[in-house]
Amino acid sequence: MDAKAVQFFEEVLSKTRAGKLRWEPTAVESDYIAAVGGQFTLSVAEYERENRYSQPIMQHSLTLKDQEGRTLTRVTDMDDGIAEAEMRELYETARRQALHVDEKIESLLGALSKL
Amino acid sequence: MIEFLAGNWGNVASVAGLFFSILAFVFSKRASIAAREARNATLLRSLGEEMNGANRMAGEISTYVAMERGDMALLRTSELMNQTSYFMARWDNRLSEGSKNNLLSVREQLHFIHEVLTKSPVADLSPKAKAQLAQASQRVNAIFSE
Repeated sequence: MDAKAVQFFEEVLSKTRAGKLRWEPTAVESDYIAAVGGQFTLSVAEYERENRYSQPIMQHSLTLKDQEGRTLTRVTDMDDGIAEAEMRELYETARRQALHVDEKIESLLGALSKL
Repeated sequence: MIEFLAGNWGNVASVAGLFFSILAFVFSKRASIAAREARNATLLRSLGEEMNGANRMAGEISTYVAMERGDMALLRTSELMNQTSYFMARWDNRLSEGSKNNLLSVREQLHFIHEVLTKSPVADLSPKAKAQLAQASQRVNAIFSE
């Protein structure tokens, strides 16, 4: 995997951790998107594939598209220089932000405390 | 007075010329501002009309999804994807970064809606998948309503 793509992944992970990207759910349950800078869209996806022992494993990817919808680069947790745990963290953080999981849990905790 | 004019006609003519030049500049500036404002108003009206059309189309996608008319929803989704690409190209230098991000989100949302509608008829989708499809089409509708 080229250094630029690894840098791109690290930067997206960093901005996602900081809550700077506006991740949104899509019509596909396992895909989330975010538009950036008025020029690019990012998407993270979770999908199933078979490992070398033909056992199903979950994999994650990060895709960058340009303004015309063309795929510029795609990073997966199979690529060199991309830590599987970090890719999973990116997907999970994007999912939680897109679905407002923390706010909903806070709201539930508030409701539970009144019981 | 006549003596003064006769002696200084050149200077008087220069001052009068300068005065009329300033006047012409002020009027041309006003006319240019008015023309620019009229042009902006026309462009804004045109953008508003196009957005209303897109909003109506987005509403139709939601309705067709709810009615399980996948074929019609797919047709409108394709149309709106093209329309969104056209918006981004036509209004690129007039839209703010936030508006461009909204249009990019819409196009990507439509891409996923298209993917789901192409894979199987709406009636065959699981209740969860149907709900996600409906939510995604409402999200598109909401962005065009903003």
